[in-house]
Amino acid sequence: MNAKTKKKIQKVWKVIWHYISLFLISCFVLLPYYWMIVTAVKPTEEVMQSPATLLPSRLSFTNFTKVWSSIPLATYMKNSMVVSLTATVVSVIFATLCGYSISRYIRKRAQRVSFVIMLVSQLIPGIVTMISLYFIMFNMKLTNTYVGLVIAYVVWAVPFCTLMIKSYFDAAIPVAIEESARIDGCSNFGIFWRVCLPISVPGIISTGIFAFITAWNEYMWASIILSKDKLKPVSVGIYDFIGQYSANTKMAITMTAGIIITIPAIIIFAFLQKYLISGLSAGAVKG
Amino acid sequence: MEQQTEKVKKQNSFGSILNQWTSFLMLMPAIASLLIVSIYPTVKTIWMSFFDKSILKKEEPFIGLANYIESFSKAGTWQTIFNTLFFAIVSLVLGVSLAMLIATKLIKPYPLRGFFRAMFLIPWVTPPLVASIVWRFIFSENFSPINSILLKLHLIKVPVNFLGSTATFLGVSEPLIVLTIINVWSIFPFLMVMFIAGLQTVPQEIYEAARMDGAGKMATFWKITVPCIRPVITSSIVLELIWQFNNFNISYMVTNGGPLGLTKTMAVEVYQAAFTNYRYGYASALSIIMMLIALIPSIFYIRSSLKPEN
Amino acid sequence: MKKSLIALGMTGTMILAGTSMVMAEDKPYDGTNLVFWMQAYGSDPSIQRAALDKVTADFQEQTGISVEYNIVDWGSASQKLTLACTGGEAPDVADIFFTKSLATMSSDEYGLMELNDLVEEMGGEDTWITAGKDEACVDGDWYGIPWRADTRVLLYNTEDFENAGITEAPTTWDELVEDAQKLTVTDEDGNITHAGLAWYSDMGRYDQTWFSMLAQCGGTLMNDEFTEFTLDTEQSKQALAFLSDCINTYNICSNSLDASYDAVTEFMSGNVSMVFGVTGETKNNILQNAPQMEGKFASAPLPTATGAENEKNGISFSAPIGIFKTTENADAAKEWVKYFCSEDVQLYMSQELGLLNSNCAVMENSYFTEDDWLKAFSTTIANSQSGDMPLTTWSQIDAWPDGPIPSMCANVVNGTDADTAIAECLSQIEAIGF
Repeated sequence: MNAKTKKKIQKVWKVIWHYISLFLISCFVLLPYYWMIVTAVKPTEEVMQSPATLLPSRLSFTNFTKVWSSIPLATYMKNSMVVSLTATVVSVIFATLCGYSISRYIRKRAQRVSFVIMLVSQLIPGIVTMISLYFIMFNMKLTNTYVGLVIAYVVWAVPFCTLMIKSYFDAAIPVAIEESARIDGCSNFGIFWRVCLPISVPGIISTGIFAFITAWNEYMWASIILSKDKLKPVSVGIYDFIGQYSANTKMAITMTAGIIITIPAIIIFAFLQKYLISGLSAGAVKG
Repeated sequence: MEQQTEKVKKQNSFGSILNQWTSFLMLMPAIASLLIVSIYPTVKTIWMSFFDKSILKKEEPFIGLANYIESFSKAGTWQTIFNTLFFAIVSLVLGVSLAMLIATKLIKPYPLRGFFRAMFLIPWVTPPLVASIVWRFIFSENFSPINSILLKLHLIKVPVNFLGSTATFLGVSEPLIVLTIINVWSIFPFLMVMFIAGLQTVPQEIYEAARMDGAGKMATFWKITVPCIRPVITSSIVLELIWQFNNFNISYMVTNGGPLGLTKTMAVEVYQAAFTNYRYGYASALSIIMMLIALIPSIFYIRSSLKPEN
Repeated sequence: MKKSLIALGMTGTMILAGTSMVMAEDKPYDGTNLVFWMQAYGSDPSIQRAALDKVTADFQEQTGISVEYNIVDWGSASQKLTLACTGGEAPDVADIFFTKSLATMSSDEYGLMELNDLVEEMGGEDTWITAGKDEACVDGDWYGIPWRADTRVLLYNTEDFENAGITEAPTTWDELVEDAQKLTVTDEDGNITHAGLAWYSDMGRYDQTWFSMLAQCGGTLMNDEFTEFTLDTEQSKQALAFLSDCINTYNICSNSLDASYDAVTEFMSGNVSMVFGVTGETKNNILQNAPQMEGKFASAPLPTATGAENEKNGISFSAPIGIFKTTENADAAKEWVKYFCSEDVQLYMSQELGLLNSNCAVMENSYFTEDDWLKAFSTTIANSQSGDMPLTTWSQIDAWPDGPIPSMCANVVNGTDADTAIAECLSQIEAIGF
C-alpha cells in the first residue's frame, strides 16, 4: 500500500515535472513572439516607454490594418510562396534522383565524387561567391526574375536534401524489393520510378520541408538580385520599414508584419511536422 | 520481318546503353547545377584571392599570397576568427544540449506532444531578419522586457546594456554571448527534429533490457541512446557546425559586428571587405581561409561517410 | 443626324490629330520609359509611394515619358549601386550616395554619367549648398544633381526645460553642460537614470557628433582641397575632449555603444531631455511613434564652442540624383532629373518625406523658414560645412562600426588619450589610402 502510493506519487510528480520543464523551455522559445505580439497591440504611446510595460494597457489593432497599406505585404507573401514552393518542387526532384543514384551505386566513382561535392559545397561561404553568381545570372538575364531566385535556392538546398533522401533510401527502402523487379525485366529507371518512389513519400515530404524553409528564410541573395518591389519576398520586404540609419523607429508596425508573415509558416508546420519527423526517422538509422 | 527485329535490336541496344547510364544521368541535374552555381564561383574566388582586385582600381595585379599575409597580420582577423569559433562552437554545444533535452521529452507519448513539437519548430521558419529585429529589441537597454522584469524584482538598479557592453571575459564580450544565445534559439529546432527522428528508431526493448539490468538514467542515455543514434547525431552536428561557422545573419543583422568589432564574425568581415571596402581580392582570401578552417571537421566526416560499410 | 455625327467625329479626329501634332513638337521623348531607383525615406513607405506616383504622373503628362520607380531598401542600396556601376543591372536614373566611390569604379561603359551641362542649365554650383557640391562633384566634374540634404540641430523637451527653469536653448558649450546638468537625474551610485543630453548616436556612432563639435569650435576634418586630414589640431582635440568629457566628466550623457540604442527613441520615452544633432525627419518620427510628445518638443541650432559666430559652424549632408551611362535615353533621363530636382518638386518631396533640401532656394521657402521646427534647420544649413568627405574611400574611413574615425571617437570616449587615438586613426587612414 505504502509502496504503491509512493510509486503513484512518483509517477504524478514525473508528469508534473515533464510539463514544468517543457513550459520553461517554451518561455525561452516563445519570448520573441510574445514580445512581437505585445509590441504590435500596444497603444502607440506605450511602445517607446521605458522601462517597457510587459502587457499593453489596452489593446489596439490599428497596426494590423495599417500594415497592409503601408507596404505591399500581400504581394510579398505571394512572392515568397511562389518562389519557395517552386524551389521546393525542383529541389525535391533533383535531390531524389541524385540521392537515389548515390544510395544505390555508391561503389561507382561518379557517385562517390558527387557525394563529396555535396559535402564540400556546404563549406562554401556564400558572400563572395554571390558576386560571381550575380554576374552569371545577370548575363543570363535572370536578375529580377523568380527563376533567378529559384535556381540559387535549389542549389543551396539540394546538397542537404540529397544527403537526407540518400539516407532514407539507404535505410528505409530495402534493395531486395528492387531485385525482384529487376528479375521481372524492369529498367533501372523503372525500378526507381515504379518501385522505389511510391513507397518513399514520407522521406520526400521531409526533404521538401527542408528545401521550403531554406528558400523561405533566405535574405541576402534576394536582396541583391531583385530591384523591383513587386518581386520581393517577405524575408526582404520587411526591410522597407528600416531607415537609412536602421533605427528602430517603426517597431510596432515592423512587429505586426513579422507576426503576419510567420503565421503561414506556422500553419504549414502544424500540419506537416508529423510527416517531417516520420520521414526523417526512417532514414535516421544511418547518418 | 527481319528489318523489324533489327529495329528492335537497335532500340534494345540504345535502351540498354541508356539503362547502363541511368545512374549517372540521375546525378546530373543536381551535380550540374551545383557545379555552375556553387563550385564555379568558388573556383573563381580562389583565383581572385591571389589578385589585388578592388573595383576602385583599374589594374588588378597578381600579388600571390599577399592578401593572406595581410589578413593574418591583422590583430582584428584573429579576434574575428576567435569570435566565429566561439559563436559556432558554443551555440552548437548549447543548441545540441537543448535539442537533445527536448527530443527526449517529446519522444514519450504524453498528451500535447504534437503541439509542443510544432511549437518548438517555429523559430526555424521565422525569417532571420524578423528574428533579429525582435531580439535586438528584447536585448535593448531601455526597452527590454528582461530589464523591466529585473528592475521590478530589484535585482538590478540600472538597465543592463546587453548589446553595448565592451567588457570581455577571457576575450569573449558580453554582446557576443547574447548573440550566441540568440543563435541557439534559431538553430535548435533543426537539431531537435533530427534527434527526435533518430530517437524514434531506437527499439524500446533495448531500454527495457537496460532497466532490467538496473542501469541508471544517465547510463542508459550515454551507453544506449547515444550509440544508437550516433549516425544521425554526427551528420547533423558536423553540418550544423559548418553552417554556424559560416553564419552571417545574426552578427550582421543584430549588431553589424559592433561594438568595436567585438561581435564580428568571419562572414561579416568578408561582407565588409567586399561591399564596404570594395576589396574583392582581400574578401576572397578571407573566404578561402574560412573554407579551410571549416574543412578540418569535414574531412573526418567525409572519410567516415565514404567507408564501404556505411 | 448621321451627317452631324460624322461631322462631330471628324472634328474630333482633327482635334486629336492637332493635339498629337502639338504633342509631337512639345514632347520629343513621348513614349520613352525610364527606370528610377530611390532609397526608402519618410515615416511610412506608403507616403513615399504616393508622392512618387504623383510626381511621375505629372511628369508623364508634361513630357510623355513614363518613369517606373523602384524603392530600394537601405540594406541593399550600396550593393545594388556598386553592381550597377560595375556592369550589373543598372537603372536609367538613381538616387545615389558615396558619389566619389561610384564615379571611381565607373568605367567607360558602365557607371555614372558626367552631368556638367545639366548643372549649368540648372543655374550652376551656387544653386546648392556647399555639401551638395562636395558630394556630387568629383575632380571638377559633376556626377549628380544634389537633392535631399540633412543637417544636425538640437532637439529638446520643452516640458523638462520649463520644470528645470531653463528659458532658452543653450548657445554655447558651457550653457549646454550647465543645462544638461540641471536636467540629469542620477541615483545614489551616480548612475544616470535620466540623461540631460544624448548624442544622436544611433548604434554608438559618435563620429557625426564629433564632426558637429569640430565645426562648432572652428575646425574642419580636412583641408579645403580635401588632400589632407587635419586631425592633429587644437580644434580636433578640443572637440574630442568635449565629446569624452560630456560622458566621463560632466556625467550628463550615457555611454552607449549598444546596437539597439537610438537617442530619439530614448527622447520619446522621456529618458532624455536633449538630443544633440537630430535630423529633419525626427519630428515626424516622434509624432508617429510617440503621439504623447506632441507640443512638448522643439528644435534649436546647436550651440557653438564659445558662442562666437564661426564660419560654417554646422555640418550638412547631401545626396544627388545620378544618371547611368547604360541608359538608352540619356536626354529623357536628363529631363527627368531636371524635373525631379526642380524647386517645386523638391519642395513637394521635402514636405511629403520630411526631408531637407540641398537647393538653397528651396531651403529659403517659407515652408522651412517660418516653421517652428524647421527654421533651426534652415539657419544651420545655410552656414555649414560638409559632413561627408568627397573621397573614394570615405565609406571605409567612416565605416560603422569600426572604421578609423568611428573607432577613434569610441576609443577616446572609452579612455584612450586623444593623441594616441588620433595617431592610430591617421595611420589607419594612411593604410586605407584616399
